[in-house]
Amino acid sequence: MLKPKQRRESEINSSSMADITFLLLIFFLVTTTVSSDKGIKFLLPQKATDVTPTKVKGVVNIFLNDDNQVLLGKKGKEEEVSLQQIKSKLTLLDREISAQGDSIIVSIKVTSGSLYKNYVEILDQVKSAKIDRISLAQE
Amino acid sequence: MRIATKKSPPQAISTASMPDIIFLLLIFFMVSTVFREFKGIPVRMPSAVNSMKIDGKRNISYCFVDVNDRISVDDKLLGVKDLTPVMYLKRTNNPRVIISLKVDENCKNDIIDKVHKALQEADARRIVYAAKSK
Repeated sequence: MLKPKQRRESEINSSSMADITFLLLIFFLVTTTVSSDKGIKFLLPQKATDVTPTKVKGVVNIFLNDDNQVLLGKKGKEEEVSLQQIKSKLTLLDREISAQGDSIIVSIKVTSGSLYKNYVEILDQVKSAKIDRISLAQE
Repeated sequence: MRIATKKSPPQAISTASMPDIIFLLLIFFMVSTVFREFKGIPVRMPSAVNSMKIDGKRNISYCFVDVNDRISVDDKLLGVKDLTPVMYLKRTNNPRVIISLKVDENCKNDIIDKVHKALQEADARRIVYAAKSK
């Protein structure tokens, strides 16, 4: 009578598995960049096709000129302020406008020769004054 | 007479769970890694108090503008006119795209205005003015 052959159990050697995983881990560790993106969020308006002037109450103008001087105030009542004063002036105007039952809209107009950092500073100050309605005037 | 010191059995730390831990770490890094597709051009970013962390790294697309008014998107130097089709493509590929404007602080607002218009034309209106926190 023939004896059935006893099969040896075949096993895949998994001892190198940990090494392979280590290698992959090191690769991903090296390639991962932990750079966080920071900035001021802004939503541009839709492309203006037909601009109709509307009368809106509560508009506060901020002008920035080529010499990086700032004018701030209601229409026709703008006065020169420094970049650091914008927040406090806007807070005062916001209170004044809300007392009249309107809500404040800040309209920023910058000339083409003014510096970008001052524009960002103005935006920053407006955001600090907790004002969300911002209008960006374009030439 | 010498007192026989007690021999403690050799204490070995079990390393059986080591591959599992490594696997876990590996999966974490595999999932969180976003490969950089650009190097950009050197810019000095402005600083702002209200500079917030932007979520959704995968939706962010970068647009570099340096002092010499050079515009770089995905490591390609572009003119303002070429910006609209490039951004339009990005916008159609991913409607949730956020354009991060990495602009040098000493740039003139003239170029910013042109970039704004190009982005509006491409309907890529969600932007971020990249800034360091103060």
